[in-house]
Amino acid sequence: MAFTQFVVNGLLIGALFAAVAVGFALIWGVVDIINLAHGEMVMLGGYTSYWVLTLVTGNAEGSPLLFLVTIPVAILVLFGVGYALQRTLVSRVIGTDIFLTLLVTFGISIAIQQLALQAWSANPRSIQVSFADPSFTVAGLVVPKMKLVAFVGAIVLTAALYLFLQKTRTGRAIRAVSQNPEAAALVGIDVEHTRAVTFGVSSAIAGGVGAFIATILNIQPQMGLIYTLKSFVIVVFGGVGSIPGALVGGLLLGSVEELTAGFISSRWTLAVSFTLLIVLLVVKPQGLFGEGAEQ
Amino acid sequence: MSAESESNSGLLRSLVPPDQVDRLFGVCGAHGWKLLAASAVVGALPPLLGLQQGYYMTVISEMFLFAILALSWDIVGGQTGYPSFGNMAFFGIGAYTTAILIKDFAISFPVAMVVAGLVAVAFAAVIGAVVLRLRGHYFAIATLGVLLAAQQISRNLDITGGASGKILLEVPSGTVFYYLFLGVLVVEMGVVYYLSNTRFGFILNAIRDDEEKATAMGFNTTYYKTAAWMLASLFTGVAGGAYSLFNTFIDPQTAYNGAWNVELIAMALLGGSGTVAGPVIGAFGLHTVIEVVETAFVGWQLVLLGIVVIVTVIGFPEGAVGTLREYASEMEYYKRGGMAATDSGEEVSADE
Amino acid sequence: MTREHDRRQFIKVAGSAGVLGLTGLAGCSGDGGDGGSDGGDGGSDGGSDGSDGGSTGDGGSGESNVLRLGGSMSLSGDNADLGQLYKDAYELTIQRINESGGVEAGDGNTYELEMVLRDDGTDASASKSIYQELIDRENIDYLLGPYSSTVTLPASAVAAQNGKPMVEGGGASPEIFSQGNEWIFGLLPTANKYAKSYIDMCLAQDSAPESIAILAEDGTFSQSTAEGARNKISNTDLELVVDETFPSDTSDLSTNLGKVREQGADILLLCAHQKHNIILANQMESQNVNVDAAMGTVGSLNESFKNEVGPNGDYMYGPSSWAVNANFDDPVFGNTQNFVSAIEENYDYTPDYHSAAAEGVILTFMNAFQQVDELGPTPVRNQIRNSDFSSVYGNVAFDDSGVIDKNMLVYQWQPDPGLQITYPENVAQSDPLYPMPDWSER
Repeated sequence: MAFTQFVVNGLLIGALFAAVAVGFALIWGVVDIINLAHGEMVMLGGYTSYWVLTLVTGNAEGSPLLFLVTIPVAILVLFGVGYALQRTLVSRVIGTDIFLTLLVTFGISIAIQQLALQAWSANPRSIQVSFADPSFTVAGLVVPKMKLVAFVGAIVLTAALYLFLQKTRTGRAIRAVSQNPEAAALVGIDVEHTRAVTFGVSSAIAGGVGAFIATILNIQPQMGLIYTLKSFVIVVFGGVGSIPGALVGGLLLGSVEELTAGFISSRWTLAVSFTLLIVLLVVKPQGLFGEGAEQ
Repeated sequence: MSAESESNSGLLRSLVPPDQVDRLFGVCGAHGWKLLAASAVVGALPPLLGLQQGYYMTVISEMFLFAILALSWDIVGGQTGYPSFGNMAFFGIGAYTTAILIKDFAISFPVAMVVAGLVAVAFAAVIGAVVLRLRGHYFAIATLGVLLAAQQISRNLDITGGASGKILLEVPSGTVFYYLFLGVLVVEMGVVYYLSNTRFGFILNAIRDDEEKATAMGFNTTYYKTAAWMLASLFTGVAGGAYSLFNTFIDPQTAYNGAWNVELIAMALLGGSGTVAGPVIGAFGLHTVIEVVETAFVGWQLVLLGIVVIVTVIGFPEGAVGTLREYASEMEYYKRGGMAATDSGEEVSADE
Repeated sequence: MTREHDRRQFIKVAGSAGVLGLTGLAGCSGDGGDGGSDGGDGGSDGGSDGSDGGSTGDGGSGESNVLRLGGSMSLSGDNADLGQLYKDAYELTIQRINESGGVEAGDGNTYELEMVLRDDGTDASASKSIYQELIDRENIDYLLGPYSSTVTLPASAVAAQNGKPMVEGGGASPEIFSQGNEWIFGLLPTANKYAKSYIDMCLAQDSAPESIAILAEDGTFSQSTAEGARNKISNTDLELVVDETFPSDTSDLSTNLGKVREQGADILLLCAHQKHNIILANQMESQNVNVDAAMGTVGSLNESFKNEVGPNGDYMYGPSSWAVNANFDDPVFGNTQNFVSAIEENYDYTPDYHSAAAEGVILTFMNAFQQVDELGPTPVRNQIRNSDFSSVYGNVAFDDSGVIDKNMLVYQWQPDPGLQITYPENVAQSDPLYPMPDWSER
């Protein structure tokens, strides 16, 4: 019983980590950039939803439906932010030394985080979504409704991204650029634009997840780093550029952390995650499911 | 980068012609050991000339400390081409080793510091065997993982004092640390300079430029990589060992400071990685600016700094030394009309 | 890892600009040591220039009739919001003192107070050099402590090494005061006392609790709080059924709360800061955890906490070393209520104990300046040790280790009147609503 409950807790939270990580994996796979500012996109998405809701209701509370309406706004805004970042800044260091790309995205991360701190203060904030009955119990397992909504939302976002890449023209262009930018350019794909769209789409998904995180946990200007770090672990679990891999990786990470918290102690959750990261990198650098992970 | 420097260096060109800069490189290359000795003497002078223990001594000692760390990072990062985000793990292990030995086992400071260096090297040997098999982004992430895992473990053990860390209020005077950090720095610069002119240094650079080729040429690259990694950990560990006393306390946040790890990289890169003086210059320059900015822009310093990082990295990706070297080599490029190497009598060439 | 984003690295990175300024040095780049010597020179030269510039403030007492207080505060970084409370209260108090003619010191002169406050970005590794700088470059003799225990600890070591008294209202870890440091004075009851009143209060109820659960963040302060609570519990009949520590970066407490629910703990103690208090309040609801009482140790009494959690925060308890509706005499503001309205007027928020403690810090110095025969770090320190006066914050007197002699009050968010003091009984505004209603009955 306890085991199942821990796994349920882990899956519920892991889907959110997964949806953050898919964008991180996509940027890594397509643009070959480790985006250290990815966590900041989660943060900005959370704040977008928070402020839209505040604008509409006067305080950050609302019915589940009203809250869900704010998510497309967060997604749109973050698409713009991601697209602009790639176009103006990140594109300038693509193909250069790995240190430079890391420093640039690190600089972006700091600048965004600190501007957010100046604008919105360090106070943690959360969105209150009102349910008549906040949780239900199935066979002894407690499942909070809002977490279930967030879980479904995260899966939907991930699936939408997957379909977008598989089924649309832009999606195919993104995959083409990821496999061979020169060849893609030869067949008439605007590589710069496509990379910026990749950045935008990845940020948009992260932003949508940020809105869910604002309801079930809370948001703060400095919250981004841990999401970036978890994305590292998940991508290593699932393989670079692999969306199904990142999804399974996220669910796995969530379950491992909650099982650690449940059976050992929550104090060891992060130590276990990071150790697992190293071990997996060494034992299975291509990820548990990916074929896509070369150097 | 070159486009930018060409567009705005007209005035500079007339004031400091590239061939003079090139000559300066040449002079420095010819007298490396003398310059190192002279700089050690100059560095040792301020306390003798009346620099009192206090703020300035602390700041200069920190500059030496960061120079040690940046140069250590560069042995693996710049010379060998392995971007380590986990060097601060050696630092933390060194720091905790002295803190524990001095506080719990009443071992004397010099002994504890030597042990700190050795423990860091032993740790590096074990970790290196594992992570040095990875390259590029994967190596970067794995080393970051090592740093984070070490930090989490220190937070949860009793011997490290958990999240509270260790407090050491009985410490030597600031002058001791000044000379200690200076001494370690000079020794390290000497070692790196010496090695850069040996087979060992060449092989490290060969690994950076093309590891497969280096292996194909019959070098045991694993051996050389691991040796460089352990050398870096030795100096980083000793510096960490001294730092816990210098700082009077050590906790997981300070000891395994990931932000510092990024700083080290920035210092090495912005000074010029793959060189001996670059990381040192980078460390001195950045640390000076820190101290100024810290007092000048209360509240907004981080926003400003994030922006400065972006602008600098995009504008000057080769670092100060690399930018200058490129500038210096422009003249030769025109003179010889081809791919003239920067043959300033210098093997430790900047990253291409 | 949050603190990893401390300011220093950015500053260092920013130094790239400085490096470019030093291009002259770079000529010798690839070639061994000389860069070192040049840089070294640059460092020390820059140093002495700076010291000339820095000394314009002209140090301490005497001719200018100004007494200068200096310190660092978390004006950016994790605790920037709380740091601002200190800064505002410091500034207002000093302004009021100067407006009313300054401090009539025991040496017969009248002095104005002046404050130099630097930003440490909530970074423990920065505070040491900031305090060293204040002492050396600004010639500050009287130090205001920073916020939070981890930042205060190294700062207090600098105070001791330089023999300058430091009074702080923001560091409550017992470790600060257990080092035999004679130069540090703290106005907050130490962390190990934070949960004591809460446990006493619960045990005094009719249906007294039999078991307790502790969830603690893995920071210095929260761990001290938890340790104090465990000691307290061992002297009672309470059974400790859940005792979990979690990393500061954890944002989901579901599994730990699940354990609290499974073990059927009667009361819950969360040793953590505001972020986790918000999560606790919301997840107690969503995880359907019904306890008789729940307290968060830090940040559970702020208005911003209640705004974020709404009705989920009802019935939560929190400790405070000070009550906003208290009435203590104060030589500067007259009494506590005048201080509260002055803060509300000038800064548009209601002060909490951080603000009051900050006021107490300034008054501790003012009081010592007034009592000593001769100004100077050592006589002022000795005088502070003998402090015994009333301020907005309450009576200020220190025990042998330098900690204020004070116990915590317990507040509860009650649905109707709002925040109420519920313990100890002699100052309580209402009885605690104990046990708190189950979630299904709200």
